Amino acid sequence: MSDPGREAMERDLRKAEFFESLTDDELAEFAEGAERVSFGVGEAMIREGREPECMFVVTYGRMQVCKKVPGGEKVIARIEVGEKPTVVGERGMLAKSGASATVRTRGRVEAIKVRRETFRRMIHDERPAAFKVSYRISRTIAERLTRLDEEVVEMIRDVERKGSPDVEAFRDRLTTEWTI
Amino acid sequence: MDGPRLDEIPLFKRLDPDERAELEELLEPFYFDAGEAIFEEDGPEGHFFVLTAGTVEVHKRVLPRRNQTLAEMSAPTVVGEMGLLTDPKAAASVVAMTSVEAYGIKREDFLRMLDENSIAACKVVYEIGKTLAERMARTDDSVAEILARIEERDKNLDLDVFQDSLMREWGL
Repeated sequence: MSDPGREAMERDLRKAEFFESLTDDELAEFAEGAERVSFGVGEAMIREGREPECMFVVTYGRMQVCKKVPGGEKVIARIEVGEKPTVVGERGMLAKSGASATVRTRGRVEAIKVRRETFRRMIHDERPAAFKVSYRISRTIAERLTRLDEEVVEMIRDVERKGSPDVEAFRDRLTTEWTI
Repeated sequence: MDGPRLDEIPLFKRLDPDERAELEELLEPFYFDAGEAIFEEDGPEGHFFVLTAGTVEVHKRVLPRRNQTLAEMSAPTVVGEMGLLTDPKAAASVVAMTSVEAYGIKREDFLRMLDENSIAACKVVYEIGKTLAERMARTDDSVAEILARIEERDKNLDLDVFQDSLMREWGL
């Protein structure tokens, strides 16, 4: 018998970056180990420094990315989910290091939670679904690293060339490339 | 030259003997003289290489008069693995410091294996991804440092100091 909740979850996952290339069966496999979660305003979905536990495919809501500074937190980026879901916490699927920033909700947020433990078990069991997602995450990280390298090198050249580089624009581009 | 011991290289450690054999079928031997470029900055990255003997230097032209050394690496190791995940264009030059023995895998052959859901290729990419994810974590820390310095720019940002700090944070 079909499960409308599960089918809706698979449809949402299908629209998200990293899951697009999965077959229906592979999506179903991910959906089986995933769960719908919701957060109220001001809740921390991911905490800076904490060992990664999950990634979220966020289907609705607004969030902000914050870094600890002396005396509190500083907002470094804002995320608003549009038509396609937004993924946060994907780096934690591959890396053991603690999260580099806190993701805090700015209103009600709805998401699909994929546990790192589930993902790692799928990798251990050599499930193609998990390998496909890990490939997409790895490509995204590789592309971000390449762009960041280029940004920093270009900024260094800019300082040398002009002596008055556009530091503001540089800062904006760096924060756009932030990963959690 | 002896065949590569893939099991000695972290990238291939999780492969079982059959999976390693699948990759070994694609390996072509290469030999580079000291001073020869394995990759030229901005040039093509058509292969990734498993180095079995020798030492290489990685460098980048950051400023016109400054060819910055980024790293020195000795066999057994791999170079060019980033090209499997991004546009196959070398971000830096890799030059042999000694004579270097290596085995190369064509990027297109490897990507074909990946398309065919080869578990060997999937495992290699997963290991590359784990390394990149850890590097991304360190990079985020560097970005945070740079952003903190920019925030202090009103206190008379000294551009020479800023440029030096960018290079230091970025390992350039």
